Amino acid sequence: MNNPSKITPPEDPEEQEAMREIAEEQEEKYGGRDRWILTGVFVVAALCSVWQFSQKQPLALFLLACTVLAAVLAIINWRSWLKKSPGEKNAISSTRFFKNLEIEDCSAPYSEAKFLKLRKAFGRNLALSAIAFMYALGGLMGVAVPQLSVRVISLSIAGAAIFLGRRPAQRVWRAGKGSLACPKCHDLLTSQASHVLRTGRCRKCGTLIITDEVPADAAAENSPEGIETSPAAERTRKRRSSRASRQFKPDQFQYDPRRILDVITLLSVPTFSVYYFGWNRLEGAGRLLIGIMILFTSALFCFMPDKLLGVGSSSFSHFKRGKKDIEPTSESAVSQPERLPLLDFAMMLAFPAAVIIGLSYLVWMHHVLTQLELALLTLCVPGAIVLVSYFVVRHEGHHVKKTGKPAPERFLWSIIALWVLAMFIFVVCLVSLIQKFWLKW
Amino acid sequence: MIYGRQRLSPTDVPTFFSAIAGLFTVKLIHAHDVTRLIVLNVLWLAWLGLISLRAKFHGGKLLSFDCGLYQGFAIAFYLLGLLMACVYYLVYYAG
Repeated sequence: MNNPSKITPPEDPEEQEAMREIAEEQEEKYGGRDRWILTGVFVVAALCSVWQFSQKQPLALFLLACTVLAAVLAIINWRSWLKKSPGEKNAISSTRFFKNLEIEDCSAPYSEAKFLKLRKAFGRNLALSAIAFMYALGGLMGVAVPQLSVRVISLSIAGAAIFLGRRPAQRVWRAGKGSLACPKCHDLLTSQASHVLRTGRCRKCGTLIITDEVPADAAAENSPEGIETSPAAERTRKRRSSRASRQFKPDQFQYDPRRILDVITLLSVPTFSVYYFGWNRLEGAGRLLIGIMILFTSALFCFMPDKLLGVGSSSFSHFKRGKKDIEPTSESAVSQPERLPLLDFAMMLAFPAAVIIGLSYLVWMHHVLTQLELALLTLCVPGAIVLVSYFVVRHEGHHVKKTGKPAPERFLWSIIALWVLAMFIFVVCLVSLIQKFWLKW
Repeated sequence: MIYGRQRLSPTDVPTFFSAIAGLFTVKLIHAHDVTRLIVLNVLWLAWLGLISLRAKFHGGKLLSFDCGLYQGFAIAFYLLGLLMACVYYLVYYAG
């Protein structure tokens, strides 16, 4: 018997790979790696929002939202980090940020993991060099400003950028000539990373770059015969073939006349509306430009292959498949698709619809809300939505108890959507209230 | 785009058109331009119907995605456009 509370690991290797990738992504985002960076972002955003607030600039509200977001992410990261054991903390490579910038001095062939690590470090250094270059350039351009103080500040910024960007640029240069260059043709391997990861060899000269079993004499192993025989090597080969299936080749463009009809269905009315409502406002060039953009979008939708676009292989579909494994499969569940009861649906939609009709009436009457009216709207609309959803949930609970059938999944999603809407209305109205009547901006 | 990431974004056709339709609906209500208001909303409803009709002959799918996905997002963004425009006209617009 299936236990719904316990998710069994998927047997399909592709699913396992997807689950592993998702877990890695989660760990990278929330595992505590970026706790210091996020704390820094939080402090900077908080200072900027206080500054903007004192200047009475509307940007303060945006910065405040950024501050809250950074604070939440920093707290999650710190919490995850503090929960880890000392062993787990040491296992994370990026405990020290500057250590991650170092590029090891080595030469091909190396393992895939090492290649990825080198590539990541190279990317970081390249990004830092580019940022430093931009700052240096901007600072040097400041020399043209007549004010002496601005000139001094600009030159200081340029000097600091050059000083800080010097090391990353050196690392990039050294790695481009050594660690991340093909030993034979000296081509930069990061520029052909997808090919290298797929085939394990250099695109230009075919030199072996990636292997899971580094031979004693690497040069001798640069033969076309495969050397990968271990289970690890087999896994690598599978990963590569999986990556290869996701690579795009021009001959993969697909042509299906039915898709043209789909695109016409999707774009005909929006296109007609754009030209009908905007004909007098658009110049000749504008009309042409919009036409070209619509044509390009249509072509993209028509000819892009489903395989490349990942239809049916997203994380969401993995989630859905995984969920299907743990759900009990009864005859009724298979034969009858889940439908949201009409009464529930009508009850949930009635209130937002009434609110929008009421607001539209006020717009028609050219009425501008007073402070009291806006405050009432801010409090009452979300409150009423929550109240309505409470009664709908109670009704659905009664329905479930009577029939013995579980509530449809769509019901849950509809309730969540309704609460998100309530939260959105509350935030929009509250911000308007604060901005217009309390801060009087 | 919808195709690259398996989900709709504000710049996709159904979401963008619906949001703009919602915004313009309120603008036309404010301008008391009933004819264009009716034309716009009839067009938008006809478009939803057209999507349903096409999907009916194609296994409920349009461009490999469920027709319900397009319609759900279209309705949600239409309401969002309406709501935002209503707030703008009711709070800030004093014309």
